[in-house]
Amino acid sequence: MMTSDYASFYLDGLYFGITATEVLELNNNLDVTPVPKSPKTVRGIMNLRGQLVPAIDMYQCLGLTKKTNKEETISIILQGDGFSVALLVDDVGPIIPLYESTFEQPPNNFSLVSRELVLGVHKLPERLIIILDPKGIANFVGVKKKQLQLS
Amino acid sequence: MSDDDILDEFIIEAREILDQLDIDFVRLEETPDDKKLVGNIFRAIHTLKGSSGFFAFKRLEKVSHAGETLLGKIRDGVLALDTQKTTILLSTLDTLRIIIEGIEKTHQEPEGDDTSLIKNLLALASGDEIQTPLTPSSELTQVSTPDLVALIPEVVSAEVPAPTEEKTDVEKELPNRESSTVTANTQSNNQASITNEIVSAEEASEESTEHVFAADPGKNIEVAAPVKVNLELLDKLMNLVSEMVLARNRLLPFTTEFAHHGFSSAVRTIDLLTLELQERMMKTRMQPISQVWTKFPRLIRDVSNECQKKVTLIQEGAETELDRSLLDAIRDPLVHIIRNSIDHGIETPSDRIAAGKPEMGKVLLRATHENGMVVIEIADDGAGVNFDAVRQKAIEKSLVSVQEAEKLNDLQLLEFIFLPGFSTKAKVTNLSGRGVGMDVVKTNISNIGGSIDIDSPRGKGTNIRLKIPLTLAIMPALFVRCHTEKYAIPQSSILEMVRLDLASDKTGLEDFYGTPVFRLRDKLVPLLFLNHQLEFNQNLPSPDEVINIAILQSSGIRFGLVVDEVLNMQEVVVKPLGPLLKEVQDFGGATILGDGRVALILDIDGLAVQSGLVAKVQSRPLNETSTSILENEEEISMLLFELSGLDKLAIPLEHVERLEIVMPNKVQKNGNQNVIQYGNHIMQLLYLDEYISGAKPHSREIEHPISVIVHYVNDLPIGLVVSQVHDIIHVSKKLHEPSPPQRGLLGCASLAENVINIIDVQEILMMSQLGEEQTQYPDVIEMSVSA
Repeated sequence: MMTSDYASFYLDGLYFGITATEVLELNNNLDVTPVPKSPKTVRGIMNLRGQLVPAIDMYQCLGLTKKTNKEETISIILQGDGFSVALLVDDVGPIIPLYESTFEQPPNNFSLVSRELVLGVHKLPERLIIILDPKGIANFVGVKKKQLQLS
Repeated sequence: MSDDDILDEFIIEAREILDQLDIDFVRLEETPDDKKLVGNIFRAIHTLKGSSGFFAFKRLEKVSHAGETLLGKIRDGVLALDTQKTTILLSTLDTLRIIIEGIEKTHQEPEGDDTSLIKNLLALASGDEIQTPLTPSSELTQVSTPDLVALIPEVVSAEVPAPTEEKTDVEKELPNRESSTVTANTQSNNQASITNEIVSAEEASEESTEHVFAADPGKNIEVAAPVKVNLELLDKLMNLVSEMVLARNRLLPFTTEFAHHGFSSAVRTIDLLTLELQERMMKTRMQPISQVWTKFPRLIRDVSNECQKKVTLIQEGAETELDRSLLDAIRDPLVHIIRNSIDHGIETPSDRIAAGKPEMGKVLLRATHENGMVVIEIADDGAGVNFDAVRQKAIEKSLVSVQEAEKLNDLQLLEFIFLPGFSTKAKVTNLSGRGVGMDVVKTNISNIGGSIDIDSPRGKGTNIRLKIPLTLAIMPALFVRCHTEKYAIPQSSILEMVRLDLASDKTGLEDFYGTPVFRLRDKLVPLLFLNHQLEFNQNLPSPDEVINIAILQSSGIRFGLVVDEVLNMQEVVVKPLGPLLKEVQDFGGATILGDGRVALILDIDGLAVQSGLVAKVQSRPLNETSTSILENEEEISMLLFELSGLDKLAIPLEHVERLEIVMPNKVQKNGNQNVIQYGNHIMQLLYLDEYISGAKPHSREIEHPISVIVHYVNDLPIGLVVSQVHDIIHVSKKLHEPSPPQRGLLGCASLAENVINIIDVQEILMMSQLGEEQTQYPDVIEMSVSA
């Protein structure tokens, strides 16, 4: 059976995964320079070996609310077409291989915003892992920005 | 290497060939007899033909083949080059260029019909066209025969003496008989081959010509071709190098911590290597401006032919280097300005003669370095800006009322040229007159941090000066603090910094139709608060606060930006913010600081427009512009300072580059000069009290910081030492000349019941020169300061 590797991480106690091939690296340098007047989903920019990378506030992106004052501890650098983004997350887990057979589409009553970002869910024996769409994240941040401009 | 890569290389090569051909053709028209040049052109087209055959680009091959045929005839002297042939050859080039561009876009040869072009080329090549007075056959024989005769002795004289000399040399060096016989044998062999060549040359004229050109020593030695590197790769390398510099910075402190000899020396090596690497890396991006200029001879030829004007192009400083990305950015503006110069500026030959000017108009392109900027001047000796037409047009477009227009002077009228949609050209030609002109030029130039000035004395031509930063990637910036973050302001937009003590200032902050303003030397300056702008808070300074204001110039308006703290000046490497943050107009980019943190760079234009200040100021001008310019004409800005014994001295502000405070222990001796290290230069210090009548020489021993006015002579700094610098004043241009003349003084002006003595910088410089060298009065003041 076919397996694909996923990088796993935690946000707000939930367990997430993203295709490992899209992940450039994990980085624990979280020195983010805030950019005033930027979209809420963009926390600021950070320096990745001389390259400027926008730091994405995943709580804002996924519509989660922070229940504690704890800051994110690590960032996942995604390598996209032409540019990279850093996803700020609470913690990272191991890279895990997942079988296609455990995959399931998001349920129909899933919210529209989440539908853009969430590809679906894998049913692991002990818990669920929510699979995010790397392209969806990049698009979402872009779309949000346009909406802000219109209003 | 994939097929696509090979194709890309072919396109790059083809473009280079076409660029070179443009120049060569125009040169050829001036010197039609230059056989070497024809040979070069022929070979270039031939190369193009060969490569296109390899890629099976049939259209390209056919056109270049037809061009080659005509060129071959010209090269062989069968046909003479005239304007008609040049024009058709140039249009061949254009066709080739279009095809190449098509290939670049789609990797396929674009569709198109070249049959008429090819037919014309071949017709001209066979001499069929009406322009040749001789019959084709007689021309062929008549022209080629003497040419051939001329060629043969050339072959013989060039080749034969060489072996003879060789022989005598060998004979002298080696008295051995056998060896000399051997040489003689080789020599006779040589001669035999040469004779063969001559015979074959007689048989076929084409081949012989080929041979002569191949034998040309200058052309035979190939210069090692420079390696072509993808710009993206260079950018990436540049990024890595700057990152390495930062990593090095982090490494340096450890040497003191560990104090291990081997470790320290390894770090020092890394330090030096990084430094050198950084410098070299910067150089790789620099390219001579001639890269852009190569296209201009052709442009001028085409445009002037179309306008039926006669124009020569003079280029100076073509070797001046600029960053590659800037070269791309200035190309279009320059093309536009040059077109304007010919189309609007230069008069028709008959008008020029009537105006007492030479028939041939001149366009001068000059690039020079000036204070870390590149200045590009485009000057023509044409009629200059038609001010009356500008005024008429301004009234027509209801930009000003008729009465106001009458009062506008030439300088103010020039401002209109930069407005969008403003064109004085009555008729729209395909060259200019569409009104999308100078405003676009100005926008493009200011986008890269440059500025543009026009000077156009009536009837004497137009002089346009573009000031361009050396590189886009690195620029000096002032760091300021707002709230908790550091922000960088590009130095190019900063006019001055003002510290305003609201408690002691009489007027403080005032309100002008809802815009906060303050008075700077009796002019109102609108204010923006950076903390409001960046939406941190809406706090206004309390009435007893001291506020820091950066006076900025942008989008044609001057305004003050209030910041929380002024930090340091630093050179920054500008990096784009990326697609996600591009829409935030307040920032032009970001830079990485020494500690690895990112700092944002403010986009002053964006800030001014975003805040609505530009619109406000344009709708309701703060200062009556006409009066302010009127004042400027009669008044001159001076820097007021004092020396012991003389407390009201002034130096024209145009002579002042910077003001510095120097600690006395920094002053060193160079012979009998006092010098200090100043940037990359050694700056000579002149104690002004030694040169001016009435000043009491001051004791130099005390440990007081020295105030120095920095003045530049021939790009070298000279420090004028004064006791104290006071203020900037505006005094009348008309000076009262002292009688009898006073040493070191130009004259005096009165300002509010005080007499201000204006110093004579030229005379002081001459005096200092005389004092040191005890020679005669120099014609040109050249300071003997060595860097």
